[in-house]
Amino acid sequence: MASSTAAGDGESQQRQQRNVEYILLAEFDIDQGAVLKHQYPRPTGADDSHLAELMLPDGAHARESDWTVFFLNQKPQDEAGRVPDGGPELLHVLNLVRTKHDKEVRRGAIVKAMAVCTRHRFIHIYQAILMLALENYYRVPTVDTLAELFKSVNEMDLSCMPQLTRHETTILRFSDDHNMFEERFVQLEKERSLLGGLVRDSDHLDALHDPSLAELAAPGGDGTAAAAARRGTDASVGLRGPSTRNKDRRFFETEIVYSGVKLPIRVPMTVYPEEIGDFSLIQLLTTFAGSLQAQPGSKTTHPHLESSGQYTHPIILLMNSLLTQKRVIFLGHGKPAGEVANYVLAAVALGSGGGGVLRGFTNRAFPYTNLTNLDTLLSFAGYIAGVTNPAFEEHPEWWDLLCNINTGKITVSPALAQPAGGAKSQADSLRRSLDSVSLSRNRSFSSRDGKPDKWNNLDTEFVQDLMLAIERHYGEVAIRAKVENYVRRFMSLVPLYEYERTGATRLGDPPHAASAGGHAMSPGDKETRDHEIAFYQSRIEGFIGTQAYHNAIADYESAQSHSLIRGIDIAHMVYTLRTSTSLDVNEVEAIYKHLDEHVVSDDQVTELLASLPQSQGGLQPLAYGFYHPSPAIRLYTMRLFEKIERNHAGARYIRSTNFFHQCAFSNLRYAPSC
Amino acid sequence: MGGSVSKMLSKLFGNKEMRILMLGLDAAGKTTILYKLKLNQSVTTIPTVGFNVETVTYKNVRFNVWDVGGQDKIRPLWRHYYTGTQALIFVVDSADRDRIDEARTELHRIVSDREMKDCLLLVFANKQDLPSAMTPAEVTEKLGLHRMRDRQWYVHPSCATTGEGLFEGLSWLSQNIKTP
Repeated sequence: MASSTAAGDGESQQRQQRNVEYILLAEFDIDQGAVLKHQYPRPTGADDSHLAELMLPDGAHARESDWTVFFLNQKPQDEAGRVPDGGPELLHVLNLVRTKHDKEVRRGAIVKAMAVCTRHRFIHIYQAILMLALENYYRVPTVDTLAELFKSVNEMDLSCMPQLTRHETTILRFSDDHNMFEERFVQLEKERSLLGGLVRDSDHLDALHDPSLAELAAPGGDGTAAAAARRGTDASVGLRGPSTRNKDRRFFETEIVYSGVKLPIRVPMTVYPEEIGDFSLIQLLTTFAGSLQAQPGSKTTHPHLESSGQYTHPIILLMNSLLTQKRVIFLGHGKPAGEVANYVLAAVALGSGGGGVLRGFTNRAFPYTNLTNLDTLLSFAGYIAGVTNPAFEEHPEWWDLLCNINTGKITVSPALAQPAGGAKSQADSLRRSLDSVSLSRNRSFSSRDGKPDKWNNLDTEFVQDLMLAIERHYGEVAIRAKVENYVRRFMSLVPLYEYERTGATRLGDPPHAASAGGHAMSPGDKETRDHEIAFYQSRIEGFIGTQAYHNAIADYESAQSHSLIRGIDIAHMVYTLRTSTSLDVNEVEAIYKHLDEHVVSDDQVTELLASLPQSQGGLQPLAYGFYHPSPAIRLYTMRLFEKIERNHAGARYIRSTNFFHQCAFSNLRYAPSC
Repeated sequence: MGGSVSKMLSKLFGNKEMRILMLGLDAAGKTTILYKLKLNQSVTTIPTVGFNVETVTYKNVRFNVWDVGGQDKIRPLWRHYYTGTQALIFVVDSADRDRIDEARTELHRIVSDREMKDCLLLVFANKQDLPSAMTPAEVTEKLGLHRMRDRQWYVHPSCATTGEGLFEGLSWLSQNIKTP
């Protein structure tokens, strides 16, 4: 996980940058094919015809409009399996293509596409304006139309949008209280209105001092003074208190003014690093959950992918492919490219743990792509790509896993299980040799046990839980949270495995954690954990060396140097309090003592709250300390809650806990002896 | 399941399947031919972005026809469609004398590919309704088909908008298809 400070720095940089970097326009020329007509304000640096091909998706002639999504500045891994740092930042491209039939023109139709390239992950906010702008371009096909759009989108005002840290984002994301960070919004709005007032006053002053200016301004009517006044009234409305209450602060409301039209924009505040656009993970899961693999019985299973042999659930098959960085294709023949792209974006969220645990999936995702991009695609060790061309299905040498959206069927490439053939990279052959090792191990494991045992059901349990939640109409956030927890749990096993296997790991500090008391582990827990590691062994081995693995090391290192709570593993403590059934008094006391000692400052409280999402019971696991027989534990709990209460978000957490916990808190507080 | 049943039935009743790739320069009439065959009506087509693929059944043969856009720049992509192709339908605009040489070059490039070694070649000398159209014999000569010794080829005149000649072409394919 990226540390809050690192994320904060990134955000503040982003703040000075433009909303949109480039506007592109492509056209299907009836003689030349896809042509990039304009790039504004300057060329992106990417190949022109490549951009044009991605903007004019296969089958665009057969539908009135379609969307594509793709990314710029993606970097393939180097020899060592790492993605080089630096270089231009990843840009997200949202593209709208339209086909207009027109009997007047040669061959009867005009196909044009317009795209915005932005750092923003919430690319879907630009959908409405792209529709307007492309319509305008059909009327006025000049670069001026692009310039006008560029100006409008970059005038969208995000200056009053609070920059939440990663921990705050997590808190808000899982909070029932949509006003969790109300103060931050109000404060920025106040500053803005003060500033607005100053501007207005200085306008007045200038006007007083310079009569000619006053004369100029007066007949103009709609001049700067009027604009400032309007801003002033906006701000005063915002200050009126009640009207700002009950706003859903998970979104920041702003607007884009484009050719005289005001478009309201809602910017989501709770987006995780690997969540791009407005996709549906639920749709991905329901499309493929029911698929039965139609594989010939004799086929050898691939240990990275089919962790439970032939009975591996399709969703787990997909999850394994994503985590072990395989080449995954989503094929939707006859589907809109925009729909296919959403499957890819959802798969990115699936592999990265709801978008919030692992990084690097976006860098190798190609939400819409086609044959023209094949060479780029194949230069990536693993990719997640969306295509509409069934020709991909006929070339299993191009992919490892093919997910057919139309049939809901997932196919493992017959070419995958075969031994590496010559021109593969070193890392790849290494991975394959690992494959064969773990394959034999897996076999002996299953032959010993005969049929799938309790531990083989870890994944089944996860999938059943997901599907049940979907059936019960849980929302996207809840589903993504389940995936997040699953991937987080997997990631907690990786350092343990590495440490046990090689004596070293760069993803954690198992010996320190074990000795530091806080990492309480009962024998029962240890047994569970060891079984989980054995169960996920091939997945862990496949994960090691992937881009996400290297990023996780970098994130762990930066968390070590930036983390506000040092020396204890909060996530593990919370996990222990939540799930362990047989902790002895000393272990519990150690946990509460460590928490009380290490969580002091306001920011540290925020970090603690982030690991206690409200959707998973909030402070509940800690609140049980109020009722512990040990007076020391009750005291630690009370002191911890006092610190939490002083935090704005913490106070809201406490108010939303169970009434009895609140009573217990106040009782202890005013009569600490009992 | 359903697929395997229909495969069994098709074996019983002698249904054949044939994968066909339809190529040609832009505006030769490929898409119009495809939809005339599929829907038996003349549709006004617009330039194909990427490809179209449709299944047409004729005389117990299921023709799986791929129609790929013909603009200059995207012709290098044609090769990605070669795998498994049993027949190539090459469509020529018989009235476009200026580009018949270009068509010949493209055709020879396609059939020289290793993956196209065994496939049948059907040439539609299309747009016969236009006054200046070249005759099939002329097209044969201009495309240098006589030089293709190791291949079964057939040139048939056609008019995609009316459908004339199209099914005769498919007949030739269904008679000459090699069962695997």
